[in-house]
Amino acid sequence: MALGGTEGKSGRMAGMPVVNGYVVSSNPRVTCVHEPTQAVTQVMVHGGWGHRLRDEVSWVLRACVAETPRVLLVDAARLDDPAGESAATWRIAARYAAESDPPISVIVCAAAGGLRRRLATGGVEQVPSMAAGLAAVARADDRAAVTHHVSLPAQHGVAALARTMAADTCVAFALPHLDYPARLIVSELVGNAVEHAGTNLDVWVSMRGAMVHLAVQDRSPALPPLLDARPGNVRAGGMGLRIVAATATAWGALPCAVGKVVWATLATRLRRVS
Amino acid sequence: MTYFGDGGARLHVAVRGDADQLTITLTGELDRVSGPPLADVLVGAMDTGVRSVWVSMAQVGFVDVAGVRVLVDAYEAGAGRGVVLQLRDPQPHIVWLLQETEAAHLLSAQAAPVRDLGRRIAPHGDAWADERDRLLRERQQRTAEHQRWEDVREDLADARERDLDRREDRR
Repeated sequence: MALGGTEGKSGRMAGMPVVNGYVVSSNPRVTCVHEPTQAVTQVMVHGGWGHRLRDEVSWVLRACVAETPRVLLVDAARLDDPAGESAATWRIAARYAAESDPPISVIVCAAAGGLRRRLATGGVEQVPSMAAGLAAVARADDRAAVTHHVSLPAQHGVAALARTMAADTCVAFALPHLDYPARLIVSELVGNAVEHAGTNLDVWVSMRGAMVHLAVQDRSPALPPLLDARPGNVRAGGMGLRIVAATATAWGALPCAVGKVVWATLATRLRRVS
Repeated sequence: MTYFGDGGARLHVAVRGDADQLTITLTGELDRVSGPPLADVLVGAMDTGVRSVWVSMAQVGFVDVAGVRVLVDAYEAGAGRGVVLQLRDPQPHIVWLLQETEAAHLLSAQAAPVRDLGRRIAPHGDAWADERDRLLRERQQRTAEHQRWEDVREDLADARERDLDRREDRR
């Protein structure tokens, strides 16, 4: 499982990791699928429950929550946990997500046997199957989330259109201090998608609680590289993402049914400088 | 000269000066579309025998990483020809970007460093200290998130223990 926040080995700030990145790649044990239109992330867990799987799952759930989806669906159909030992982890995740800003629902789908019984008490929403989970998501109110979306072809010039949409959104929500950060992030994410994926792309700008959420989906499954040490040169590869990391409150990438989404959030309140 | 990008990006370039010094005034957005034509103008200007090129940035509202790359390339091309390139009066958010991309040496000496987007610090601010502060702040944020997860875990474990105790008492 590749996750953000790896320690830098060299560079101008050796030993100081870039810590606000959440790049989630799927592996045979934990698979993630994000659906940007509905702002839903599915996490599928495979195999026998144990320390290793628990640690991986807690990382992935935290990374998914950082992206601020509307709903997090956990597919337990292929989870082998007859005694229900994973119940504590799902309870923690549900409460952790509910206490986030904005609050996020966690729904456990297709839990069997002991796990289903142990989750029956303790505040975790359960449905019998992933299909039922998706139906629940479709029924749920959209919490009046305001989302702007545009589909664009793989041309360099489209970054200007995408960042204008981001700027308009910031102005519409009376967040002028986020105008440049939002334009810069969207511009770099779209530029990366055009350059590295070279496919049609979709851009979303939305308000989620106290966050402006920016997301770019392309049709290539290749995830962006983790940020290691910071290079001292603007020509070094990955500078665009480094700038996104330096500008955003948090950023990351999630696999989608087709391709991936690279996202970034900007807190609407100015960060406190301690 | 005005360059229109195919996505609507626009950069206007005005050149004036004398045999010794040129001022190139930019208006608009400098990105990976408008950057390459500007690179041609900048390198062309350096081949006229001038000793310095000032790029007036006051009316540039947006620069991306590719735009910084064009300016750094021009600065280095100038250094090879004995021409000094200097960015004049960029807006604070663009000063911030230049610092983050280690291109602050393109700024004239009087430019005040910018710590956070939209935030200006005292001119004696140390860029290294700022960088360290920012990373520490981010690390604290990440640690706080981890702590929140652990707190929830502990709360739930406590609640469970109380439940068990109550059941024991009832027996």
